[in-house]
Amino acid sequence: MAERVSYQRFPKVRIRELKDDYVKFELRETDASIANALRRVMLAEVPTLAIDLVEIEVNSSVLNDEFIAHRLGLIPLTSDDAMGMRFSRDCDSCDGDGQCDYCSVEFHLNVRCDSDQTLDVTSADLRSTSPTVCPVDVAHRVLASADPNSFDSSDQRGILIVKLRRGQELRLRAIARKGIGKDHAKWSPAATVTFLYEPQIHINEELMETLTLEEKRGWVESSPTRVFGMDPNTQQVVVVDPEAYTYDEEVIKKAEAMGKPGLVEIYPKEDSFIFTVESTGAIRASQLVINALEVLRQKLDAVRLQEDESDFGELSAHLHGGG
Amino acid sequence: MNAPDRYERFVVPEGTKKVSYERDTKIVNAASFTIEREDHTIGNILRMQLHRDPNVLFAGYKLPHPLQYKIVVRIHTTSQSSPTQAYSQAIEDLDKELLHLKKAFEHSSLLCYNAWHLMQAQMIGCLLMMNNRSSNSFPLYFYFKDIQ
Ligand SMILES: [Zn+2]
Repeated sequence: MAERVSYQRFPKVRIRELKDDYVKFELRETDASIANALRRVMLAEVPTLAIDLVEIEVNSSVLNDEFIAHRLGLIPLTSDDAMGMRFSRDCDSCDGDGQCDYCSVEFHLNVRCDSDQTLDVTSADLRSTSPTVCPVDVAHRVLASADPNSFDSSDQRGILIVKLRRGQELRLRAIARKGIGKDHAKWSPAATVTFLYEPQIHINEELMETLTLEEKRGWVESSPTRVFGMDPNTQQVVVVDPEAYTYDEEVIKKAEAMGKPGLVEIYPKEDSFIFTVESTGAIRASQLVINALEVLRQKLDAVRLQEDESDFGELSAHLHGGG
Repeated sequence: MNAPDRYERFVVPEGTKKVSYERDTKIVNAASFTIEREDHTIGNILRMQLHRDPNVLFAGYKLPHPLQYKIVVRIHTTSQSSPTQAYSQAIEDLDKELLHLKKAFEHSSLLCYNAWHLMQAQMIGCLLMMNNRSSNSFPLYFYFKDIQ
């Protein structure tokens, strides 16, 4: 059997923009399968925490119990600890009822309206038993108030759960658990994840110079997005924003209609991708990418062949006259 | 009422092997690998990585049915290799690529994050200087302490 040779690639990364809940980066020198796997894992397989079990003690609000339980589940929770936690179904230190730090976080909610004004029950009313896990909007406001040069005056109300009128009450215990978006979308840490193939645009300058100024303008205008523009000094057609191109081929059709086929050639670079990642706030966007890569590695590790069935097994099968 | 549990999509049932493989009875160096509870995410990266191996004559995967949570990867190699060897090598290479990617991303996000902090620290410094001339001597490095 031949010596094992590696066909590994060394992809390049360049981050263009990085915010807590947003990252835009270039991924080069790999193929679409890796880019797509990364996207799929970010959306559906990076774990977070979300409320999954609700015990309602009192609910005299206008919404029924399961409606409220569903709304609680959809509140994003700070999930920096999620990667290190256990799934309740795998946890052997508890029976998954929420008395366990390894797999769950308990919340309490106790609100009653005693005035004639409608009372909003929000995420801010949830009392967490963990110092690190709370609704993301609550955590965001705490951080903003601690920062002296924050001019953020975003509204001080939390995520609305239900409204109460005089005499109505809501009292419950909720258990947040670790989960993944594949199970239920409430566990997805990603608001959006997209990638685009970087377009390679080549203008045939010689052919372009046979166009009148009017024709050039018409051709530039034919693109639904502003990909091309006119240089005000030289009157030449230039590429303004290649990434605005949506692969609609309108400029190619326009060139053909003008009797100038081959005026422009646009093709997607097979090994360059531009990612846009938006997080729900459960984890930072950069952490989302890092966790996705780690989860993907764990998935790969799980599909490795066991010792007995890899090369040794193959070899012994051959020796015993198999195949 | 009789709906299957949602976790059936990603939890391998007890007594079931995650990966099983069956050699082709008619063709040498051809085999099918059945991977339980996986989908296009693993199937496609594995297939594309196998295509990079010149000893692989054929590599493909299928998701037999959307409600059967498994994929089947079929590999046919030259006599210089074997399906199991190609399969293991592909996983090895993908793992190294992802580790490299993770390090590259961590490195550049740390740089970005620090640049952002630096900008903030400088802004705070400017504000202090504008507000109070005597704060010129304020130790700016105080604000840099959380930069690694
Ligand atoms: Zn537990």
